[in-house]
Amino acid sequence: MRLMGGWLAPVLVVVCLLGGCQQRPSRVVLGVALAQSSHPAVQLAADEINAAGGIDGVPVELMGMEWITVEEARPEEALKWAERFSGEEDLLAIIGHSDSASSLVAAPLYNARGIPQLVTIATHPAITQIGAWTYRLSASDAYQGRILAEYAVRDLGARRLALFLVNDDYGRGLAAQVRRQAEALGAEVVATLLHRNVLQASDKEAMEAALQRLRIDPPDQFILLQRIEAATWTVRRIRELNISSGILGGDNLAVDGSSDAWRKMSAGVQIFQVFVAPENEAWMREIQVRSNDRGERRADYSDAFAYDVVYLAREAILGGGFSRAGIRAHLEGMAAAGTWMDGVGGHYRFGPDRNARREAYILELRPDRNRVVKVFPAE
Amino acid sequence: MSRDKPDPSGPPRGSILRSILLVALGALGLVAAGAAPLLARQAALSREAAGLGRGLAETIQLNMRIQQRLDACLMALQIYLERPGQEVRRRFEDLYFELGDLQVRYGMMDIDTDERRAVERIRASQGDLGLAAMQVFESTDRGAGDGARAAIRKVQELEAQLDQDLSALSGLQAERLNQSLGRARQAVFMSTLLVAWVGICFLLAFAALVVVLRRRVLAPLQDMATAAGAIRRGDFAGRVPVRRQDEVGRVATEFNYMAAELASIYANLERKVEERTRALKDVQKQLIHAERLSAVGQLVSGVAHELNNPLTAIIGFAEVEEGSLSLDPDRTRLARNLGHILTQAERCRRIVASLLQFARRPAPRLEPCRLGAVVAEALKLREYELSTGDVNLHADPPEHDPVVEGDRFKLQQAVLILVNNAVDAIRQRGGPGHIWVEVAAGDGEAVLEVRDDGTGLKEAGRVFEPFYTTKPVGEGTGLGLSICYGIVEEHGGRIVGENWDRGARFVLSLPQSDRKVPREAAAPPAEAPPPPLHQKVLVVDDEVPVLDLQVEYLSELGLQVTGVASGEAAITFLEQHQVDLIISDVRMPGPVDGLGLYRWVCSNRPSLERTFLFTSGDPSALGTGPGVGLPAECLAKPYAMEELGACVRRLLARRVVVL
Repeated sequence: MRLMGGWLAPVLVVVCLLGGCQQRPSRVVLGVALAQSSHPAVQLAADEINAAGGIDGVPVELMGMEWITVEEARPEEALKWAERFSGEEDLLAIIGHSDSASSLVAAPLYNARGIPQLVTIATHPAITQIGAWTYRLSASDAYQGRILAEYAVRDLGARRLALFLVNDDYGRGLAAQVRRQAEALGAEVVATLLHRNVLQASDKEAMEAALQRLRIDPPDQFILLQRIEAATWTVRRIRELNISSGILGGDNLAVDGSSDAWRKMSAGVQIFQVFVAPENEAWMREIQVRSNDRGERRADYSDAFAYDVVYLAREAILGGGFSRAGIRAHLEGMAAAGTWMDGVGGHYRFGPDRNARREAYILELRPDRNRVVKVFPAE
Repeated sequence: MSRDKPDPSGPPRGSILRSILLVALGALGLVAAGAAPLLARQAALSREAAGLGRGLAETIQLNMRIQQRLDACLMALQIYLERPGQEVRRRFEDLYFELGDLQVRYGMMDIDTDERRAVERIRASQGDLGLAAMQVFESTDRGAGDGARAAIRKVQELEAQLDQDLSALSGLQAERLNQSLGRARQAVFMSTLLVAWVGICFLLAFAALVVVLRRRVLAPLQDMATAAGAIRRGDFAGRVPVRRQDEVGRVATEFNYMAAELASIYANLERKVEERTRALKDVQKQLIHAERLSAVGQLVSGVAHELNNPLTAIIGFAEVEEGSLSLDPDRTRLARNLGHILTQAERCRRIVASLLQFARRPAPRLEPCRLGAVVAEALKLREYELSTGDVNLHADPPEHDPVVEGDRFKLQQAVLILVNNAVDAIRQRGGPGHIWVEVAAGDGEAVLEVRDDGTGLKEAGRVFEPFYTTKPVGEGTGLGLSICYGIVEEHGGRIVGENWDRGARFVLSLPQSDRKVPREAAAPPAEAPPPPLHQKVLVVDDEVPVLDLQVEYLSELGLQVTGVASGEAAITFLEQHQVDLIISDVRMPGPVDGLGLYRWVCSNRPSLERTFLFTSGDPSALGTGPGVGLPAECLAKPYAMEELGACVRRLLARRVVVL
């Protein structure tokens, strides 16, 4: 035993030193699987961290910034990038994907290969149910659908609802939640209309037919579970047809498409949101500057969560070490302890289902500044 | 016994157990060396098989549920075309949303990339199906039959596409199942290899164990069995070869030591058997010798019985005639001749007396006595005679006079026999001589040694035989040393006769006694001259001469003597007359012998029981004691007339006291 004790201690020291060297790589790679609109926020956060000396002295590199995504989700593309991310040895975590469809396609692969996945604004409930390696900063559709249905039925007194939804996992998932909750509260869904993410003529034709029918027998409330472009067309047609029904939208309508048309058109539309943009924040101005090529876009919750998720990755690496398992262990610890995080997107903490718990709001969209109609405290 | 014996408590060198453990460890090592990669490969294959098969059933079940929902969706669309209504549309929407939820579940399943791509194709077709359905609904609602039919065609195309996609997914899953089964088969093959390897290792270990046991246990045991068999057959030289110092080697070593000790014990036993056999042979010789002497004694007894009676008569008459003729000077020659008769007859009597003493061997009366004192008393009897002759007697009293259990008179007789024998040997040689008599004590024995410087012993082994003598005819009976031998034997001792440098030497050994010697009785006072006798005496004897001799001699003593020749005549006489003393022969013909007469007297004349005297020439009748001898006093024939007179006086004196 003395002999073992004689040589064991130095060996352990050497092993620990070597381990320490291995745990501190020359670079930290984060895979970015976000829509291009969120790239400036991610890049800003990474630049800030690197400017401050990196993560414990190790610079952060972003991978996937050349992936120019369009608004329509393409699962084949998401799978391809997921394979590419998984092949990067120094990659410690994935940020994204932006939409539910892509996230649902890629999450099984990340979970199978033990790569932490930090989802920003994809809301399908099943995303965080795929595996223990996936965390989400926004609320899930289960929460959003319940809030929208309760607000429409209880607060607005709607009894007849018309659902317009994008025909993808986001729209179908959220629509199923809203419909289930509304019917449970006694309301009736009188129309359900699906369309492509990028509207085509057939989509518009079907939507137009539906709106014409609803003009005769209008619902109490339109609930738009669409993205900005489709929602802009829908709201415009509702206005043009002088349908007086109220319009309630999902969180996707909070994205500032930097379109004056939408800004003017959406006035009075109420939406679900988990983020209220502050005024004149430095990070927002910087994002605005970095997004110049896309016009005068104002930073929204997707930017805020994209910015925050980089800092979340930094926090997890610092707490759990330069390893994927360490990051996951740190996030698990945070969820178990209910640790609150403070980001530009607001305070949040992870629940046991790995979804963020944060304040939710009903916002009334205005051309100048959105108004908070109702606040739902974090659960 | 000095032995280089290993310490049994110490650990054995090259233990068999250690060898077996080494074999077992070797087998385990072989198993581990072969089994480790096989196990690793088997585990990997099993993991692959499990991974491939994991969730396959659930995925296939999901396929089926999706297929069912799709069929239901198409059915709803068909129904809507025929009977448009919100209920049918809601039914479709419910099914469609449910399809969306089901599709999401693929993401939670462990499916590979190809399958996931297939799923995405199904999802896309499913999305298109929803959109096409919307067109069906809206066209139907608007009454646009062409649009509805076009949408239905689109739906049917999508249905076909979905069937194709689902078939493709099923094909992928079937392929995955085949791969899983393939891995499982390989894992089973690895398990078979593993079992075969373990079996081979076991066989090798078993073979090694057999070799170890054969060399280290069975062969040594066979050696031991062979050696044990040799020892059983009396060959104690056999030893077991000790090849190792393991457990069996130690047993073999101990076996060899045991065999050596057995050989030693066996040798000692043989020596003791030889000694005892020799001793038994000696005893046997002595017994044969004693038996021979006994036979001679019986012969002598018979001869003596036949000689005694006539000798008694010869001696008696010679004595009577010699007494009467000595008064007549003219018959001097007759007197001289009668003297010669008397002398020779007396010599015969002594011979017969010696023979009887030899044959009778009455039991000695043993009492504690000091051997030195007994020897001194005996030597006093010859001291004067020797001092006047040419023989010098050297007899110093011992420093420690040993005590023996003995009959002092018989012992004195034995001493005198030895001294007389020495004197005769010295005289036979001629010239002066010396006799050395020594008494000593040692080793539990009292030893008397009588040495002389006479002629020595010609045949030392025969000196104790009866009638063996080297003396001139007429000078020895040849019975002295035999009597001496008998006396010593009766006392539980032994006597050895041998030659020494200057003559003969006899060593007599007797067992010492630890009892105390009683004080010597005081010497009896000198006897007064016998008074004249006048009592009535009845003499009974079938030998008429002897009867007459006794009547005549007793009459001369003044007694009133009556003689009869039979027991019947004696009883007749006693029934009519009173007597004071009865003298009767023991053996007599007729219905009443001496003993019968005695019994009659005891019954009818009890006062004469104490004055009844037997006479007998039969040695077997002599001696007294209940059941073994005569009940009254007995006088042995031949006897001197003085002996008869003394005996009669003693008995009559007893009669007087009683009266």
